[in-house]
Amino acid sequence: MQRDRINRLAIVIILTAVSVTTVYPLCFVLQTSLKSESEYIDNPYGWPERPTLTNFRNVWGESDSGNLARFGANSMIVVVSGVVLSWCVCGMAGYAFSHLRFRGRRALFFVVLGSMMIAPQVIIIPLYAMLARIGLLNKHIGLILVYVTLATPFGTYLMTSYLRGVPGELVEAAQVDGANHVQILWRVMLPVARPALVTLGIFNFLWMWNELLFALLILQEDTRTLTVRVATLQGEYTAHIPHISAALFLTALPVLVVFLIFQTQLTKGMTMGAVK
Amino acid sequence: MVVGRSAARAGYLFVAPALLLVITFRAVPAISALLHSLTRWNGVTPPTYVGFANFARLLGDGEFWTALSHNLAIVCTIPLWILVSLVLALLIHQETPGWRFFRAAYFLPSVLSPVVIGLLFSALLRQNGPVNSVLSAIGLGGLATDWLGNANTALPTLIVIILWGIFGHGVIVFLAGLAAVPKETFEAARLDGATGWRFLWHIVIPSLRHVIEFWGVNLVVWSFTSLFAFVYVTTNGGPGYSTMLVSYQVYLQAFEANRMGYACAIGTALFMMVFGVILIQVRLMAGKED
Amino acid sequence: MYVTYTVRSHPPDTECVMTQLTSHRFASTVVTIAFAIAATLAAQEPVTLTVWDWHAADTTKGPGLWLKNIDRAFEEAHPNIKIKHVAQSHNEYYQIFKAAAASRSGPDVVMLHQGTRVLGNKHSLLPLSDLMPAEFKASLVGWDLTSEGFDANGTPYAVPIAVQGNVWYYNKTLLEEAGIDVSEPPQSWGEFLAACEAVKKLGKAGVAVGEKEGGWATWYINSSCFQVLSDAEMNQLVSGEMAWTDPKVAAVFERLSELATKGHFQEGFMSTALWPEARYVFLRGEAAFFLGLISDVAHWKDFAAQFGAENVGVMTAPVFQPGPDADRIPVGGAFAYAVTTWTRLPKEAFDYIAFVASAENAKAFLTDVGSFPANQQVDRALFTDPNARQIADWIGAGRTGTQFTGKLPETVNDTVMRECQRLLGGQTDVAGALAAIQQAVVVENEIIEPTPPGMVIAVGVGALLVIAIAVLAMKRLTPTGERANRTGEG
Repeated sequence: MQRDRINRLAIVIILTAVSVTTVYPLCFVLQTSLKSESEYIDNPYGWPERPTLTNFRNVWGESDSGNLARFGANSMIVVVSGVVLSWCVCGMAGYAFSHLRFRGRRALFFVVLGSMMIAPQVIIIPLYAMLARIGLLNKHIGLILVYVTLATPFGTYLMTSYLRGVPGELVEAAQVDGANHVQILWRVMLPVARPALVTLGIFNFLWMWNELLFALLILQEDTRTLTVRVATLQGEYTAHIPHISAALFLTALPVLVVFLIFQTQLTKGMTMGAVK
Repeated sequence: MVVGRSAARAGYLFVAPALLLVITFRAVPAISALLHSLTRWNGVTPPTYVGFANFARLLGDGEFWTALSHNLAIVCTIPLWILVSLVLALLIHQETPGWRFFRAAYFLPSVLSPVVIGLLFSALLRQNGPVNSVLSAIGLGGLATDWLGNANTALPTLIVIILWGIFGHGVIVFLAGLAAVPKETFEAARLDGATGWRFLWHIVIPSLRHVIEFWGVNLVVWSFTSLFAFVYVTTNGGPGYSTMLVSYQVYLQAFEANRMGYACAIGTALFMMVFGVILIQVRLMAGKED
Repeated sequence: MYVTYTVRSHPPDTECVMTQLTSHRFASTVVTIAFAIAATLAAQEPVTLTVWDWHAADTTKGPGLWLKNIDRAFEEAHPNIKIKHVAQSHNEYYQIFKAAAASRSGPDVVMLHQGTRVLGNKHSLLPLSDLMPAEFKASLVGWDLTSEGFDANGTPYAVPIAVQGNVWYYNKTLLEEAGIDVSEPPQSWGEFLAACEAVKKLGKAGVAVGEKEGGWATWYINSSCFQVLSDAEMNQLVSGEMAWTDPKVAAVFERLSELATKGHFQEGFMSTALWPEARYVFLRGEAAFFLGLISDVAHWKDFAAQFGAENVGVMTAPVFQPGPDADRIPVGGAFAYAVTTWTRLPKEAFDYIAFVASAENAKAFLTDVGSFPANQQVDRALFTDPNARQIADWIGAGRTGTQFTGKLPETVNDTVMRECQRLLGGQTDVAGALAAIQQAVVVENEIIEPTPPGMVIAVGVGALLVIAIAVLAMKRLTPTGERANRTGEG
């Protein structure tokens, strides 16, 4: 018993040490954002001795080309749409690849998966030209479609992997009950796949919110997202670190909130009980 | 597996959106890039056909092989990344005291974009920064160095930074996977006396086989195609060439050197390499099943 | 997107007129009036001029505010033109512009860095010779950085707006504390090294350096190369006619290496970013010398605000090889505006650029932004800061030269930066670094024979076969369920 307790303690200590490394940097961003630039020059690493909210105020209300709230709204529109569409696309494809037999299934799966292996820098220019031709530039829907495309390989793979664990008998039972495949997907698969869907949703929300390059390319001016806006603040020589830290902190806040709210969905309580 | 006409029809219908998106916005531009890898092109004026000249140059490009060796070094550390995420996920799953806090804390790095992570660690890892201060305070002052500026420590440091940024994702993925394993499996194993490493190796890993394979494949592909932002913000591939990675080289050739054709060639070679590595990896994992 | 009216008119045929006047008088009057209205409207037709740059994001101060005022003034003078100013992020700027250029859509006016950025993107920029009056060209400096072949008489692709370059600043207070006499700048190599040594004894660094991006070493080369290389020789190094392993080039690199081996850079310089950290090191008084800029930031105004103008000095590069050209300042990298080839408003675009570069706005650039305008008609007496006046005198007297590494193709420049990092970090020596750079120059300039299409097709077919085999082997991929089910049953 004694050994067990020491083991437990050691484990908790290690876990805590790791969490210090993850929490401290965020504190660092926060404490930097509370300093003025001159204080940052003199005291880059310690706690702010003369904390100020000026940076936040500047970042929030700045410039006549739009304030943070508007760009935040743009980000919300793009990201939420992207996440929801991804659920639909990947959920459907995941069910099909894991439970439905059709010719060329493996090949098509591989096409979807293989597209993940193409480096983005290489397709940027042809993609941009294509979007210009179709007329999807500077529209939210253009970026949303690109994001869903980028999310599809990983999402499909995740959903397929997860749904494959659902026994075929469940599907057969539902079919016996007279359900068609859409109903099976909606009533049987997706509820069971809740942890995977939550995982996918959180991941997608995250990287879509933080994504810079494609957003910068496809959206101009008023349609821009928050992340892009913050990036344009950094000039060629100027990098007002506390100012940027404030902007970064505000940008990270929504994602943090989303995660904290939805992480409880990942509880270990979700078992395959329903399957039995 | 459901068979039959209605199943087949539903199958095609359900995969159609995914396929359509992927083909239109990924495959078609990729084919365009493949064709351009046979040309000399600055991205704006019409390209000039040069055949395999770009690939010939690639074979002789020391910078490319150095970058590739660094990428392969990263791939070799990926099993460690998987292990770290898995162990932490398991401990959280077993509700070690404070597990709710840890689950949130470990995901914090993932909330930040690679740009932020890079900027942060560049600041923290400086010669006179907090990391070195802590090392001195606990008596390991001899280890204090310019972590990202020293050609010997730059790549390992970069790998640690990347690991820091991604391990939380792995924890979440494995938590989802663990949630799907029936309670009875683990309880039975416990009753049989499996503990610690044996529990991990013989019970947990086989139960999560497919999730591990999935996450491993994802990490490998990600490490080849998406580390650009990390390199860009922390070291620019330096000092010298010590942290040069292939995805960063593609960016340099495409947008700094105006050599789009050559960049496409690197991209094509990259694609084939990743393809090959995944093939090997999947066969290895499939082999484990036997 | 832009609506254009085509107003067609032709001189009325006399017979026609007579007939119209007599039998279609009413109709003709209507038609004439309609044309007249259309003509007036076309002249007043509101158009939007789209301008891209990386300064416009922060319009509360600095260049952003200056541009905002310019936009407003221009719109007032041209009521039918509206300026749409789009701020792009500086780090991703050329990726975005390239993508726009590839699909021939995007801005009418675009900001670029003078030098290789302008010339590297010249295919997207309208040559300005026809649009530009001669006296306009004469009023600005910097045409060699925006015209074909780095030749001020070549075809101009962009209009230089500002002047940027490198000069050395030194902290007089710190040097005096170290016992160095600063009544004259410590310019000779011996004096410079002695000053660094003295400062080192105080626990500070000689030079504040940021080598993280690799640019500082090239700045050093640019500011010192005039001592050993003529302009012609520099061009020969670019074209490959002169070898980089030449002792003249080695002389510059050896001095660079010497500074590192003698430990005159601050600790951790290799991972210090030039912006803003190296600048912070100097601002904190932790180093005596700083290779700074002449405009925007890390310059006379910046340091005067921190230390007081009388406590900062400015000098040209430390001289290890005295000669008539040793005091030249490298210039380049300031911003320029260009007109894109796909614009439908070339004249309006150029008018805007000319307005930005005009003497009146140049004066505001100087007094409000604290930067050097390219327009030389601005009164130099406006520079109240003694260091600024010194720099203005140097520029006015022609003691400038194009930044050498700014003329290099990007791959060679990249190699120079990385080899210098290795040199300063001790992984290579001068001979090794120069050999690697020479190799890069050779590769850059070599002519490639295209492979015959037949061979390409053959290899392509072969590759497809290999892929087909691989795909068949992929049958072992598990997620689609086949194999797992089989194993389950087994």
